[in-house]
Amino acid sequence: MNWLFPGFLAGAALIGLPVVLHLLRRKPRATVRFPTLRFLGESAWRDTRRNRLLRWLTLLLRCLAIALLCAAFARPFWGRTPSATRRAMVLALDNSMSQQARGRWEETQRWSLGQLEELRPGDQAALLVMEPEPVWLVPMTDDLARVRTALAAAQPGFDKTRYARPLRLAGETLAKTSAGVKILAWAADEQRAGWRGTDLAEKLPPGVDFRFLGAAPPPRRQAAIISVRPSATANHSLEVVVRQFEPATPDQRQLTVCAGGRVLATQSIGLHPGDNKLSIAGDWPAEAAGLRVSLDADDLAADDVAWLATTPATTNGVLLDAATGTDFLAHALRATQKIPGAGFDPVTLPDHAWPPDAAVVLRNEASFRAPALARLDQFCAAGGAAWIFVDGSAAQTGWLQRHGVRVSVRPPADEPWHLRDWDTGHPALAAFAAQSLLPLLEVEFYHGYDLAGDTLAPVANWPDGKLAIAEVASGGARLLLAGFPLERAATDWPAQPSFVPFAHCAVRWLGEFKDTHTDWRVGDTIPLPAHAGVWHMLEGPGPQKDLAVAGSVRPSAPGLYEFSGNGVRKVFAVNTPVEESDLSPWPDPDQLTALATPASAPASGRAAAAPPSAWAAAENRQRLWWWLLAIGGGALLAELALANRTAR
Amino acid sequence: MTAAPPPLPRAPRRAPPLDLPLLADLPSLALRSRCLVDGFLGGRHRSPQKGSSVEFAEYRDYQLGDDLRRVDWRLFARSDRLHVKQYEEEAQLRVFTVLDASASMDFSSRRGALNKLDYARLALAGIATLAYRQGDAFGLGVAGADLADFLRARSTSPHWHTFIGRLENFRPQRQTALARVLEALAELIPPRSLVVIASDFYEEPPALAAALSRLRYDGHDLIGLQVLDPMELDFDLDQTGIWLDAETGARQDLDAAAVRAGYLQRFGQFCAGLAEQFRAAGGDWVQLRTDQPPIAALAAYVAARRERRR
Repeated sequence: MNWLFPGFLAGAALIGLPVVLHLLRRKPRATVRFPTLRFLGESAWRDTRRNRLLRWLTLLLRCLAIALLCAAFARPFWGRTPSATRRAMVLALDNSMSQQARGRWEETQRWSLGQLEELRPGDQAALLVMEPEPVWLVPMTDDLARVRTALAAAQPGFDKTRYARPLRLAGETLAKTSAGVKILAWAADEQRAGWRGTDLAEKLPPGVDFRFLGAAPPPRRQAAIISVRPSATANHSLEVVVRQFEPATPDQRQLTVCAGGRVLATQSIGLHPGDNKLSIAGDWPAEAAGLRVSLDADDLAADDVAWLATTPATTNGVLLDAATGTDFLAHALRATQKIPGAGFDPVTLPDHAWPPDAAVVLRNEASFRAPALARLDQFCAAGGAAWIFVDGSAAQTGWLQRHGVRVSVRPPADEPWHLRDWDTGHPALAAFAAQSLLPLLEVEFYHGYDLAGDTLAPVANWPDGKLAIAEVASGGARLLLAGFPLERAATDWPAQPSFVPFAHCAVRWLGEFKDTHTDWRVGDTIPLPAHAGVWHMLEGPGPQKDLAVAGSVRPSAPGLYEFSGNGVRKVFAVNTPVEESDLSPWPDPDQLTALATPASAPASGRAAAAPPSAWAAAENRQRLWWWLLAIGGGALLAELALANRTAR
Repeated sequence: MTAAPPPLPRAPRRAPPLDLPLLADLPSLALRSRCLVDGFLGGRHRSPQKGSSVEFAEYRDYQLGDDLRRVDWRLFARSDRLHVKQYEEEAQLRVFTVLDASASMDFSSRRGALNKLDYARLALAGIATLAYRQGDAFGLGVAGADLADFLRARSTSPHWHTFIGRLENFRPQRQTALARVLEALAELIPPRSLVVIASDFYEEPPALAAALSRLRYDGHDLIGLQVLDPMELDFDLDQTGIWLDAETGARQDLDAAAVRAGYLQRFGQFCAGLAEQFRAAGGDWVQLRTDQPPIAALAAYVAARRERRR
C-alpha cells in the first residue's frame, strides 16, 4: 500500500493521547472494605470482566478511529512503489506501408528487440502499433516474452503514417506508470508525412526517456503508381500516373497490365523525377471485373501495383417517367453531370422491374395505372425511393390515399404563392442550408395541392401552413411528395436557379447516391448500400477473409474488391495511399528530439510538491480513503456507544 | 356524660439544624444524646415535666368503698351529689433498644464522619434519653454472635448512665446473628414493650421475618431503624480492586462501575422486602442515612406514629 500524502500519517501519534488518558484514569487497585458483598450478586465478577473488556475495546476503537482518520487523510492506494531502478517501456511500432520499404521492417524489429533486451525481469513493457489506429498489441505487462513474441509476429500494413495520436497515447501511458525509469522506444522511420500535423511544441510528460530508431536510409529506387483510370479520350486505353521519388535521374521501368492473372499488356516506360502521365492501350476483356497495373518492383513494392475497377455498378441512375411537355427535371439532372463524380444520367423507366436502389421520379398519371402500377408497388415493397409530383389525377390520388396521404386541390388565388417553413435540416436542402434559402423563397406557384396525412414529415409549407412538400415512409418505401405538377402552368421553379441544386440533392438523398468516387485508398471509408452484403477481395497482395458488411467498409489492404448482396453487385478498386509512397524523413530531427522534456529540467514548485500523477490517478480510482473515513466514523460511533455504557 | 375533648397540639416549631460533625466531635455519647434530644424536643414535643402523666377520663357516681379523696367536692357543692373523678389507667412504657454490633455496622465511607455503629448508638441513646425524660423504662440488648449484652428496662437516673456506658463501650463483633438475638430477647423482655432495633439488617430475610413475628406475637411494638452509609445506598463510587466483605471476610475482584446497576437493583429489593417484613409484623421501619441528622428521620417517624394512633 502506498500513500498519496504520507505526512498525515504523523497524525497517528495522536493514538498516544487516548492511551495515556486511559492509563492516567486507571484507578489503583486497592482493597475496598465494604459492609457486605451479598448484593453484588453472582454476576459481579462476570460484569467486572465484561466492563474491563469493554473499556479496552473502547480504547481500541478510539485508537482505531484516529488511525483510520489519519490513514484516510493520507489517501492510501494500492499500487507499486516507484522504484528508481524499475523500468517501464512503451514500444511504439510504426507499421505503416512505408515500413515495407526494403530493409526497414527488419531494422525496426531488430532495434525494437534490442530495446526490449535492456529490460530486466520485473520491468514492464507495452507494444503499441500505430496504424490504422493506435492500438495496444500488448498492454503494459511484466511478461516481456509476450511482448517479444508479439513484436516478432507483427507485420507492416498498407495504411498511412500518423504519429500524433500514438505519441500522445504513449506519453499518457508512461505518465501513469509508477516506474522510476520511463522509456518511449519510438520504432518508426520518421516519415515526413507521419509527422505532418503533429504539434511539435507539445512535450512528452517529464521524465520520459524518448528513444528514436532514427530516420531510415533513403531508398535508391522508389516510384509509385499514383492513379489509374480509363482514358477519357481513347477507348481501350488507360491513363496511368507514376510518380518517381528516387533516383533523381531518369529511370527506365516496366509497366504491366493484367486481368485475372493474365498479362494483357506490357510497356517499357521512361520515368523522370516527379509525376509521369502515361497512356497504355490494350484490349481489355469485357468480363474482367478489374485491371491490375504494376511496375517492376523497386525499394517499396507495395505502391508499385494499382487496381482499376472496370465493372460498373448494376444500378446507378435516376429513372424518370414520361413528362408532358418539356422535361425540366431531366434537363436539370443532366446539368449535374458537370459536377465531377456526382452527376446523374436520368433514364426512362424500364418496362421490367425497377431496380430498388435507383431513384424514381413519377409525374405522370400513367405511372399509377397498370401495368406500371404493379412495378411501382413492387418497387415500393422492395424499399425503393420515389419523388412524386402531385397532378391531382384520380389514379395518383387513390394510390397516395392507400399510402396514407390525402390530396386536395388548393383554391385559386390572385397572387402567386411562395413556400415557407423550409426544413433546412432536410438532406434535400443541403445545397441551401449553408448558404441562403432566398432562392427557394422566390419561387412562385400558381396551382397546387394540399397534402395531409398522419405520417407526413413537412419539408416546406404553403403560405397558409398546409403541407406543400413532404416526406413519408410507407411500407418500406421512401417518398418525397411535391404538391404541385412540374410544369410552367403551375410553377416557375424549373426556370429558377434553385431548381437544379434542389433536384440534385433530392435525388441524391432518395437514391442514397454518393459521389461516383472510384479512387479509393487504403484507410478510406467506402460507402456501401445500407443492406447487408459480403465484402470479398477479388485480387490483392495477399489473401483476405470475406467480411459481412453493411453501410460502409474500411479496407486495410489494396486490391480489387467486390460487394454483393440483395441483388446488388459492385466492384471497388482500392489502392495504396499516395502520400505514403514518399519515404522522405522529417527534415529536422532536432525538433523530434526536443519533444522529450529534459530529465534535468527543473519542475515547477507545484509540480515538484505534488505526487506523481500516476499515484493520484490510482488513488482517485480506488478511493480507499472514503472507506477508511466511513469505517473510522463507524468506529467513533461505536466508541461513543461503548463509552456511554462503561462510563459512570 | 361525654369525655372532654383532647387538648389541641401546639404547632410544631422548626428545630435548629443539627450539626452532625459537631455532634460527632462531642466527647461522650451521653452528651451527644442530650444534644440530640434537646434539639428534638425543642421543636416538636411538649416537655414531660410540664404536664401530668395522669389524664382525666370521666365522672361516675360515688359508690361505697370509693376513696373519698377522689370525690369532686366542688361538683358536690354545685350539684349536692357525690361524684368520683376517673382517670386513664397509667402504665409505664418499657422501651428496649437493640443495637446490631456486627462488623458491617463498623463502616463509614467518609473519614471523620460517624460510622454506622456510632450513628446507631446515637439514635438509640436519643430514644433512651427521650424515654428517660418521660419517666419511661428503657433497656438495652446488644446483638453479636449471640446476645452480647442485656440491660433490663428501668427508668432511674443511674440506669440511664449505665445504659449510656454499656452502649458506648461495646466493640463491634465480626459476625452477628440478629434474628437469633431477637428471639433470645423475646424470652427476656416483658410483653407489650416497645422494641427499637438499630441495625443494617444484613440478615437472612426468612430468619429475620420469623424473629419479628415472634416479637409481634408477644405484643411488642416494633421499630426498625435501618442505619446505612450513603455509599451503601447510592453506590456512588468508582473503585476497582479487591473488595472485602466486612462480615464474612470474603474477597472479590470487582469494578464498581460494572456492578453498580446490579447492586442497586438487588439492594432496593432487599430494602423493600425489609419494610414489608416490619409492616407484616405491625411495626415501623425507618431508613437512616449516616450523612443526615437522625433528628429529621426520628421526628418524621414520631409525627407519623402519633398520627396513626390518634
